[in-house]
Amino acid sequence: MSSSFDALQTSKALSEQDRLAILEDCMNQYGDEIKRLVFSYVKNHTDTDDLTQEVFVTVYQKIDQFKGDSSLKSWIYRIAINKCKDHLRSFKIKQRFIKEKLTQLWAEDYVPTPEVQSIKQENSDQLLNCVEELPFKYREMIILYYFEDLSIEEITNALDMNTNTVKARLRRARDRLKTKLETNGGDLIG
Amino acid sequence: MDKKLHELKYNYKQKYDKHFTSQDRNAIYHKISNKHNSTHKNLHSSFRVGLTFVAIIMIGFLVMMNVFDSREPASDPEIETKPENEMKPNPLQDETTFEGYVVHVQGSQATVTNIDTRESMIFRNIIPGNVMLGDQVKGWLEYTLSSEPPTASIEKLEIINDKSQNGSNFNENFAVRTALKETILKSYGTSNYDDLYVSNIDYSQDRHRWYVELYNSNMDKRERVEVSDNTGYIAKPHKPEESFQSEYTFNYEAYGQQFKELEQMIIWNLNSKWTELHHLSRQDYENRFGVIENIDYSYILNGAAIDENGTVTIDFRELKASSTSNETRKFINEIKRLVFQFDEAKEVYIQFNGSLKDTPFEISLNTSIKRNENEEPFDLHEDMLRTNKGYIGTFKYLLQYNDDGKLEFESQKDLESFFTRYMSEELAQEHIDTYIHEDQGNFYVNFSYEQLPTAIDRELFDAIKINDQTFEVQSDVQTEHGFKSLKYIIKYNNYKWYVDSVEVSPM
Repeated sequence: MSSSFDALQTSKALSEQDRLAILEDCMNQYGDEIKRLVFSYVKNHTDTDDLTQEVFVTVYQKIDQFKGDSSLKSWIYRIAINKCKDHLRSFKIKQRFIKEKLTQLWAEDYVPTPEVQSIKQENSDQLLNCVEELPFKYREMIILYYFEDLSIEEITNALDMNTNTVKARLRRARDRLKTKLETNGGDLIG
Repeated sequence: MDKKLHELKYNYKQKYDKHFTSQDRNAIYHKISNKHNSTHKNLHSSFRVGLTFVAIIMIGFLVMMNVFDSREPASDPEIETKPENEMKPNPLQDETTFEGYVVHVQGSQATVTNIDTRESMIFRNIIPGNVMLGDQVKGWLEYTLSSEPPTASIEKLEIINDKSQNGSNFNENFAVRTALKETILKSYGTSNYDDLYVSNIDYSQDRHRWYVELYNSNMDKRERVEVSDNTGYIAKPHKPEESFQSEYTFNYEAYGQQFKELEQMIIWNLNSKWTELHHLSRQDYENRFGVIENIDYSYILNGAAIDENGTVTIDFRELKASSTSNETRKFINEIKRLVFQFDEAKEVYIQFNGSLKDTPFEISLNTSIKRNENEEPFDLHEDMLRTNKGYIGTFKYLLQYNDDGKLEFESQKDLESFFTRYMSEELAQEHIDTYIHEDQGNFYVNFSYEQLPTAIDRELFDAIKINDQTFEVQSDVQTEHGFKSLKYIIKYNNYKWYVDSVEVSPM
C-alpha cells in the first residue's frame, strides 16, 4: 500500500499535505470501483459523477475520523453507500416511487456497448439481469460480495450491519436468484 | 451458483462500464477548494471572537488600573459585588476547553454545539455510554484537528446539566434528550448535526414542563419543544392563545348540516405529524410566530357540512402558508381520501374563512372536487409511505394526546374510527385489545414508547404488487431481540389505504 496511508497509522494530526496525498492515493486505488458502485445504485450518469466526486471530497474532509477499526476500503465504501442511499431517499421525498423509477432509469440510461450487445444472449447476461431484478437489499449484497470482492467483514463495516444479517441476506439473495433462474429455465443453476 | 456469480464479475464490470476520469479528479479538487474558501467565513467569526477576547483583556486591564489607582478608591460596585460564579466564561475564551450540548452521539464520537459562539466540535474519544445525547458537557481538549467541524481528542470531560431543577422529576439533560430525539433529529438524516443548537431551556414548576428551544442554523428554524416532567415524554400539545383564535364563525345551515364524523377525521389529521394538513398548519404557525411549537391545530378547522345532495363544504381558517404544486396535489389528495371514504359524500368544496379564493395554493380551488368511482391510486410509494407512518403514528399520537393516560375518545366507536384510519378492522381490534385499557367507559393508554408495535422504521423498502388493490411491503427491522423480517399487506379501497395485516418473523 502507498506510503501516504502510513500517516493514518500514527496518532499525529494530519497535515494538509498528508490529506491531499491520501486523497490522491484513494482516487487512484478506488476511483473506478467507487464510480461503478455508485452507478449500480443510482443508475444515472450525471448523478454518478456528482456523487462519486462527493465521496472523495468527504474522504478528504473526514479522513481524520477514519479510526482504523475497519479497512480503508470498507470505510470509503461506507461513505459511498451512505451517499447513494441518501440520494435515493431524497428521490422519495420528491414523491418518486423508487422501484418504478429504478426500472425506468435503467431502461432510459443504459445503452449497452457493442461487446455487451454481442453477448446479451448468453446465459451469464441472463443471470446478471436476474441480479438487477433482485430487491435493492439483496442486489447490493451480490454486487458488494461477488462483483466488488468485499469480504463479509468489509460489507458488515460498509453497511453498518450485524455480520449475521449480512450472511443471512447474502444467503437469501442467492436463494432468490436460484428461484428466479428455476422459473426462467434453470440451466444456469450451478 | 457461487462459482457462476464469481464468474459474472467480468460481465458486471463491462455492463457498468464506469471510469474515474481526470474531469472527476479536477471537479473534486475544485469542490475542496470552494469548501476551503467557505471555511474562511468561519475564520472571520474566529477573528471576531479573538477580537472580543483582546477587547475583554484590555477592558480588564483598564479596570485593574482603575482599582489600583491611588487617586480614586476602588468604587465600581458592579465589579466588586458580582459573585464569582455569575461570571460565565466564554467557552472559547480558554482554547483548551470547549463547552456545549451533545446533539449527536455515534460510537466514541459526539457532536457538541454551542449557541453562544455558534461553534461546533466533534469529541472523538468519548467512552460510549458515559456521554449521552442532550448532555451539556465541558471538554478539556488534548489536541484539535482541522476538520470541518473541528475534531478534538478529549483529555477530560464533565457533564454539567445532570442535576434536577426546582424539584423536577427529570434532569435538564433528560429533557433536552427527549426534545432532540422526538423532533429535529428525525429530519436530520445522517449528517449536519453541527447545524443543530440547543438555544434555550426553561422549566415551569407550576406546569411541570420543560421548554427546550432548538435552533437549526442551516435552515434558520427555531423549534420550541415541551417535555412533560410527569411522563418524561413530549407534552400534550396546547391550543394557541385566545387572541389568536379566529373571529369568523362557520354557518353550518348555509351548507346543509354539520358533518361531525368528517370533522373528527380532519382534526385527527391536523394533529397527525405525517399529514399534509399538519404540515400546512405548522407552516402557518411558524410564518406567524417565527417558531414551531407543540400546538393543537384543531383550531384550523372552522367546520365541515354536508347537504342532501352529498355536497360537502370544508371551511378552514385562513392559512399563511405557501404551497408548491406538489404540496397542493398532496393536499387535494388528502382531502379526497378524508371525504370520499364516506359513501354519502359526492363532491367537496374547500374554503377558507368562507372564501373560495383566499387559499394558500397556486392552483385555485374555486370548483368542487368530485368523487370518481374509478380513481386510481395517486402515487404508490407516497401512499405506502404515508400508510406506514399512519400505522405507527396511530400509537405515537395516543401517547401524546392523553391526560395522565386518559384518552379523549367518548365511545368505543370513536376509538375504532381512530384506529381504522390506517389499519383493517381486524388489526385495529387486535391492537385496541392490546394497547388500550377501558375503565368505566373511559379509555386509557396501556403502553409506553418502548412498547410500540414493531413497525418499518425506514423510508426505503421493497413493495410487491399483488393485485391492483393489494401490495406487500417487506423490510428488516432491528428489535431488542435482534433483526426481524416484517411483512405488511397494504390494501387500497374506496380512497383509503390501510395496513391489512402484519407478520413479524425472525430472520
